[in-house]
Order: sequence, then C-alpha cells, then structure tokens
Amino acid sequence: MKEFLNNKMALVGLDFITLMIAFALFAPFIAPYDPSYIDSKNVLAAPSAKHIFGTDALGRDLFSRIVYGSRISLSIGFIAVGIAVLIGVFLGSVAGYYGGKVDSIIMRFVDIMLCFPTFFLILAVIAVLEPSIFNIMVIIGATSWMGVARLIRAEILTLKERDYVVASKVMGANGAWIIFRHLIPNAIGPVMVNATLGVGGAILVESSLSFLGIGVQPPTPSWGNILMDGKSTLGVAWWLTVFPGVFILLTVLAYNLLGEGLRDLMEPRLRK
Amino acid sequence: MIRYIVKRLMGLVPVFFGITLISFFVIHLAPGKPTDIQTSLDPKVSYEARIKLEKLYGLDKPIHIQYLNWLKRLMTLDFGRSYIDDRPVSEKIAERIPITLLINVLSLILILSVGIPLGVISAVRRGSIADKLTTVFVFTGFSTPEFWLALLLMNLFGITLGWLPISGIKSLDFEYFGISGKVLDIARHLVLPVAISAFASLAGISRYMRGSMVGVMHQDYIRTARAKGLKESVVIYKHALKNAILPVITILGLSIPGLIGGSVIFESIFAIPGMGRLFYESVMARDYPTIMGVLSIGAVLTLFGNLLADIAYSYADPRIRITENA
Repeated sequence: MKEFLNNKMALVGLDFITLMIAFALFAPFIAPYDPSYIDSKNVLAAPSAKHIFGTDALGRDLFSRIVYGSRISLSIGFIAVGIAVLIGVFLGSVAGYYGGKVDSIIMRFVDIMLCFPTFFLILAVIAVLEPSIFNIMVIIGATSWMGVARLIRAEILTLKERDYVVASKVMGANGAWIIFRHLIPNAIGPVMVNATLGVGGAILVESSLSFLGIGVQPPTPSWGNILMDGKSTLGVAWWLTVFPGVFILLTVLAYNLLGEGLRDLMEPRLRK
Repeated sequence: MIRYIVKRLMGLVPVFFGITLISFFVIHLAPGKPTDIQTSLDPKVSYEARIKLEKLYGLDKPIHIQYLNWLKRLMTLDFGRSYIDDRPVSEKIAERIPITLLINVLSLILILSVGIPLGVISAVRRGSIADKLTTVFVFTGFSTPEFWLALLLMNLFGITLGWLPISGIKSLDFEYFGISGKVLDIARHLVLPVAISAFASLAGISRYMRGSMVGVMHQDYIRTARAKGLKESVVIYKHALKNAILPVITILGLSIPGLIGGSVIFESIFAIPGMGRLFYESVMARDYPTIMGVLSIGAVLTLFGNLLADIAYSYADPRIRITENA
C-alpha cells in the first residue's frame, strides 16, 4: 500500500477518475445549464465567463454537455468491462480447472475471437441491431473478455496444484466450490489490472462508435457524439472538438496510469 | 521449417471457419431482412414480389442451410452479389483492398522502424530524459482517440498550414501528373492516414520492446558478454535485442486485427476508398454478402499476419519449431 501511495502518477490517475465519477454522480449540481437547454442568442459562442467551454451549433452549453456526457461514457466503460470480466473469469477458470477437452475447446474459441477484427464485428452488430446504450455495453463486453480469460486460466493452472486446493479436493469439495472459493479469489489480482486498463479501452471504443454515428444517439450526450457534432464546425469552433477530446484522452490516460500502478503493485518482481 | 509452416497453416483452417460461422450467425440474428430496404420504401411491392426477392437471395431457407450454401460458394471464391448494386462482392473487395493493404503495410513498417528503436533506447538508458519522454509518448498514444487526433492534424496540416491534402488518395488533377508526380501525390495523401493508423500500435510496441529489453538486460549472458569485453553496442544490438525482440513479434501479430479494424475509422475520416469504408457502407445498407465477404477477407489477412509472425518467431527462436514438431 505504501508503494502504491508513492506512485505519484497512479495517484494522479486515481484522483482524476474520482473527479470524473463525481462529475457523473453530481452532474445536475455541477453543470451550470441543462444539457439540452438552448441559448439561442449564443450559438457557437467561444468560451467565456458565461459558457466556460463555449456553446455548440444549437447554443447548448458545452461544459454542461460534457458533465452529463461523463455519465454515459463512464457507465459504458464500467459495465462493458464488468461483462468482459464475468465472461472471461467464467470461461478462463473452467478451462484452467477442468483442463483436457473443455480447455482446448474454450481456448480455441479464445484464439478465434483474438483473430477477429473485433471492431468490424462490433460495427456490424450495432448497425443491424440498434445503437442503444445497452447494446453498446453488451457488444463491447462480449468482444473484449479474451485477455481476462487467458490471464485467469494461467493463474489457475499454477494455483490448482497448491496444497490448499488439493486439501479441499480431498475433503470432498466439488469443482464449483473450489473454483469460486479458492481459485478465483487468489487469481483475481492480474484481472483487476487488466480490467482497469480495459475501462479506458471501452471508453475509446464507445467514442469511436459514436463518432461514426452508430454509438450513443443524440440528444443523449456522450463524449463521442459531442465530438462528432463538433466535427462539422472544426474550422470555426475549435472548442467543440478540442474539449470533449481532451476529456476522453485524460480519462483514458487516468485509467492507464492507475492500471500500470496496480500492475507494479501486483508484480513486484518487475520493479527493480 | 516447412513442416512447421504446414502445421501452423492447418491449425488456422478451423479458426477461419470459426470466424465465418460466428460472423454469419451474429449478422443474421438481426431482426428484419435485407430485402426490407428494397421493398419497404415502395408500397406497391406485393407480398408475392417480396417472397420472390427473398427466394432469389436464398433468404427463405433456414439459417444453417444459408451458411452451408455460403460455404459452398466460398470454395470457388464466390462471395455472392452485393444487394446494393448487384456487382460480385469479390470484385468490389478486389478494387478496395490494395489501398487498405498499402496503408496497413506502411504503418506496420513505421511501427517497427520507430517503435523498436524507441523501446531499446528507453530500456538501455532507463531514467534518462529520452526514457521519460518515450513514456509520456507511450501513455498519450494509448489514450488518444485516433479519430480525434486525425481531426486535429487534418485541421493543422490541411487547413491552417495547408501543407497536406485532407481527403481521398489522389488530387483532382492527378491524371495530368508524370509518374513521379503521381507517386508524390499519393504519398502526400497517405502521410496523415499512415501516421494516424500507426500511432496507437506504435506506443504499444515501444512499451513492450522496453519491457522485454529491460528483462533481457538483466540476464546472465549479457553480463558474460560484457565481461568478455565486447563493445556495449554489440552487447545491446547483437545479444540483447535479438532475444528481446521475440515477444514483440507475437504482440505485433496480435495487433493486426486492430489495424484492420481501425481502417474503418481513418478511411471514413480521410475519405479513402478502401476496405474499411466498403465495410462501413455495406453495414449501413445491410448488404449481407459484402459484410460477410469483407469479414472473411479481414479474417484471412489477420490469420496470414499471425502466421507470418509465428514463422518469424520460429525463425528467430529454433526452440519453438523443435518442441512443436516433437
């Protein structure tokens, strides 16, 4: 814990994430305007005291839209990764614990998914279904669990030979009990690192989808679709492109810094 | 060596079928039929005509039969005809693929020629300013939305400074240029797309290269090499780099799907008529045969890239092919 506190970059990351979560939770108190309020006298206004990040082509306050957008972008990040972790932990631990045919079928499936240009698959699925927030979370989660599965399988392969696992088996515990009670809790460390890094990745995927027009649909603001709105007015209103992009960048960066900090903490042998 | 390659190649066949199987079923799970686009806009289309249209495309059969039919035609490289303009899908892909491949190969070259030296430098001079700058670059690279960077660079170099063209791959007066003028013109159009598509993977590769190099530099054989008085440059480039580069080859293989997937984004930003854009257009129009065609070709490219990475790996590390053959 002390080492983690000494890792300044990881702490900066954690601070920024906390700030963003506060934005999302207390959006109505932080945002000076309603995100869909139209100030028709101030269309495409540059940043000023009245609108600190300026306004968009409809006269909506950009800062308020970014604050509300953090709700969508962060929850997509969290839930998509949550889904990925659930799938990955389940398949990885089953493969690692049971071994044999089950293992080779699951790992072959992992290989297949890793060879997929997943962004193509995500695009296809979202376009043929509908680009709802729920669908976006599920499909990002369903295409990003492979790393977790591999990690947890590798951990379990080494853990399952340990004495306490053998002891539990001798006492008559069944597979599910051993996996959930003994193996997963001890193998979860690297998964947490992977998941932290994954939240950043999921936020990036959502913003790319929104940018292509098949992500979160307007008028609900997400960082990606605010940016997409700004695209057409880039030459005249730089703030509409710069600010949402900076928020995406900083948030993803914060998750990466935190993830790397956690990794250093979990794998002390890399620290020399 | 040949035995190893053949073995790897055979291993890829089921993966390829797995990918096509998943794609086919996922895409056909969608509610509605592709013929809706052709029929629902026209209220005069009768029920019979709709059925006829579905029969024409084989959409009246159960889904597993449709998949088997698709596979059967795949054997003759027939991906069917596009629902949009009734042209053969293979023809549509063939005219779009060279530019996408060109951009991806160029960006792979860029990734390797910049990422590896960066990683080596920051591993060898750990804690130096160069190392710190590289680390900053790496984290920014991981965290920057590609399309956002593309927009900003387009605005800077294309509009504010006016140095580079911002869309397409050829100028309007392309036909009037000489050979060298044509090459230069395409090159100018490709600078931004290649730089953008390389950016994220570049950061990843230099990070892995650094980590792997740091690990290798602590090995006993490096100490031995130094102890016998070899020049530091020989120790680094001949002894350390050769071993450190192995895991990076694998990572590079794994980054290919990301590169191909990313082509959707930068091809639509820069209006490049490549495979990514074709995919985007066909997805928007629910053009199943083209979607399946592009997904399959994308999978083949990925698998081929992975195979090359495996071969490079086993070439660099003979232990791999010996244990796998045993």
